[in-house]
Amino acid sequence: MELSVTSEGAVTIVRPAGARLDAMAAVMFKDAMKSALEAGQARVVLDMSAVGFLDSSGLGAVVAVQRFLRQGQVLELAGLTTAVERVFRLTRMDRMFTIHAGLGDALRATA
Amino acid sequence: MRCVRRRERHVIAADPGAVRALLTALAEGPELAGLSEEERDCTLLVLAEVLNNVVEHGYGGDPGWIGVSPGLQRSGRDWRIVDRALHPPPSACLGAAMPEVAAEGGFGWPLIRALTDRLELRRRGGFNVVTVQVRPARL
Repeated sequence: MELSVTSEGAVTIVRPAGARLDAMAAVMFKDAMKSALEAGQARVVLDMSAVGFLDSSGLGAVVAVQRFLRQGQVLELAGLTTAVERVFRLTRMDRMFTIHAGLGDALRATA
Repeated sequence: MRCVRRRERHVIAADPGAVRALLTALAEGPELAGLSEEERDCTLLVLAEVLNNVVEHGYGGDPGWIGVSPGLQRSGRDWRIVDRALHPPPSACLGAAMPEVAAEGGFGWPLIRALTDRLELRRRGGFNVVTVQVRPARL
């Protein structure tokens, strides 16, 4: 899975290129996120508005990439689609992340 | 084995690419066409979790096949998944709790349980058979 990485002010924005974050994409997602976080700013927002499907492998990958955060670096989520938000809520992993309704909300928010 | 395979609506290779291709086809196909978006999303998630388990833990990376068929009710929410993996799901998975802390795995069976009214695992004649009746979870 490829990631699009851009910057908006002091925020690094990461967008998965594929619509599915599933068992097939999970390993590549983790590798790509590791690189994005290493090069990223102190605040990184993962914009998931284009991800329409997330399974437990994909969820595990999103949780796992927190291991790659530097001291003081934060990873926040934005734009969860209904199907993706359902997985975060059912597993209670929504409590483990700051989640913004959309990317605009994330950019307006203060870390 | 041949008789059982002939009865399956869909037969795929036990690999993540084939699982993705089947789920993508089902999302657009007639079997889920009568479901609400919520019911369809939950059904696809349950099927994904069951199929991923077969690929990762049942066959453990070895080649194999998985049969996927609508259940007798043809509701779009009841399904039967058959495989011939040597490692059937342990019965303990039916009681597995959702991880309480940030975890990188262990969500699969608790998710399946949270999204099903009926979940049965059987091993019969060398085949593993999982039957599910999906219960959609409203946000």
